[in-house]
Amino acid sequence: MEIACPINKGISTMFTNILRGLVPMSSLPHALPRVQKLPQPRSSLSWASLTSFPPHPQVMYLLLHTVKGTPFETPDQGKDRLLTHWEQIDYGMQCTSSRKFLSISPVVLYLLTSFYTKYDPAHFVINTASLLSVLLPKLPQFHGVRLFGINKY
Amino acid sequence: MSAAAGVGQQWVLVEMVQAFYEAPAYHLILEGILILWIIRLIFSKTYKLQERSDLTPKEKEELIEEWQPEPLVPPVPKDHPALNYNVVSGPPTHKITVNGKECINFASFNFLGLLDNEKVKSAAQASLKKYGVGTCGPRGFYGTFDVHLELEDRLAKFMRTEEAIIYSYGFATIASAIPAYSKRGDIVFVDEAACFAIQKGLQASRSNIKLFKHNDMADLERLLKEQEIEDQKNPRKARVTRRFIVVEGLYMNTGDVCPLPELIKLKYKYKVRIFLEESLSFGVLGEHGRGITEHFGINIDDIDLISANMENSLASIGGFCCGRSFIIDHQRLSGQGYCFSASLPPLLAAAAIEALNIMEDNPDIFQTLRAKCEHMHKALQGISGLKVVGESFSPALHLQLEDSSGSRENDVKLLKRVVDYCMNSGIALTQARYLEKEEKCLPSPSFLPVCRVFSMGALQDLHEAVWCS
Repeated sequence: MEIACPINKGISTMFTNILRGLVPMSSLPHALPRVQKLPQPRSSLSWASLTSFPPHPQVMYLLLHTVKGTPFETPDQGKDRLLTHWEQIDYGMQCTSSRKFLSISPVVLYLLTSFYTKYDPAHFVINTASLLSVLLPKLPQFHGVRLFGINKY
Repeated sequence: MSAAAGVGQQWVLVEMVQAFYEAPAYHLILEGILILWIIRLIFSKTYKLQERSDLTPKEKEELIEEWQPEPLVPPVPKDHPALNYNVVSGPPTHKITVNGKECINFASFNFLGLLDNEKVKSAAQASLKKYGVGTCGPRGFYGTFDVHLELEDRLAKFMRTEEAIIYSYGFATIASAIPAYSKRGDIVFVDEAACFAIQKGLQASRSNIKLFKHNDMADLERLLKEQEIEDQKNPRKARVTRRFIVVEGLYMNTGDVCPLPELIKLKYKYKVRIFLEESLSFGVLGEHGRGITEHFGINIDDIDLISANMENSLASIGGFCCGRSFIIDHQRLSGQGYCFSASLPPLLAAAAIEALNIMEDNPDIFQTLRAKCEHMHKALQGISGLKVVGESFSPALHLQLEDSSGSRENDVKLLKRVVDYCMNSGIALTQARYLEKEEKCLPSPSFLPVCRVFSMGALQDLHEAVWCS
């Protein structure tokens, strides 16, 4: 776990101040689709929110917790071949600023979405399930854990 | 229009806030928990997952006091080879001047005699005048000259493969090629008698190494079968592990050839890749000197990677790997010795090109070399106390003691006496040197008379000298 691929270093060290790099980078894809949808006073607003919350956690899950290894050759002879991107961030150090930001952003999004959907029970189920699926793998207790042998090799 | 939109927006906001007051309790409780968790996360410290054993300061002090520094120069016996070395003056040609005495050269690996060839020397000198001595960089950073590209092209054409890649140091060739493909979690089946460069490459690759007995195909098949059984137990893991076999064409440590046709059969049966190291067999075996694939009549596309160093037959420095473009191209970014080391000096590349020209123009030198080797092998057979190890057509033989005295040191001392006697009689030989602590399977002590072209008359002298010792 000593050497991570540069792209993980990229998230933490190249953009050492997360406010300079990670926050704008990840805020932009959320903000853009919502800007169009916000000012329209339709009752279908709630369904618009529905379409905009679950994709974000799903995509995040795919990129951070499903895909393993590095997209390019690293000089450490394949140390991280079986680790997901999340596990490689900051060489496996837990609770660094990048990890904190990436854990908090889906929660903030969830809070906003539940406000916008007026706390509807149906939306609650779907959104909470998405949130849990993306928060649980980020816990330090789940580092390197592969449930039911999925995604092990 | 915008006013209506503004009013509509406000109306929606009021509705939202109203919904907040009527929200179900479980939802608000969950949100409260999440907010508390966020606050806790923000204030948590970063930590590493692995537990380190923390020593108390007292334990640290104890350890510091106990520590004894090792001497910079370890105590060595007076007759350690590093302390008594032979000094060679002048270029190593047929005759070599050792310690001021001119001897017949049985020590340089100059198989085709191209080290002192006039054409090769003049090509190198012309290149020296044109380019200077060294390239000032690695291949990727202003260190690629046209001679490098030409040499790669010529080698690929000579070996009849798609592409070749040049390294600037022979040892580094195979030691960089293996870790470029084989990583942690991969499996490499390697012969026990593999040379030190291969061992270092395997060590650098961090893969799982499985040694099989020298040239023993049954042992290799047993290992492959065991691996197959393991793969069937865990097919998902098997799908991501790569398997390789690393063999040498002509083994440096024992002087015999690997049974390549059987290896090809095993390759296709068990789906492993073969890496062939042809340092001693390039320019020696085969009708046109193309190595062991030509010797056995095997299609060169069956071998995944051929690696050789140019320091033996080609009388240059460096090494090359050749194979399919898809395979060789990978080394241009992942071969550590290629990317992070200065490229081959252009004069040596030009010398290698000229040597290749000579090899292509006179394909009969390989036959001559093999005939001389057989002659030498026969002539060395009858010496009492020494046995010849190696194939009859191998130019680098080993002469080992028939009955070992039991301790390696005594054997080495005895062989040294033989070598010194030969040196005094005008024949330069070397002992095979190994880093005893680093080798995986240390071969028995021996000395290496190296056969070259144009050394007919010397054989009688060698024969007499060794008889008398």
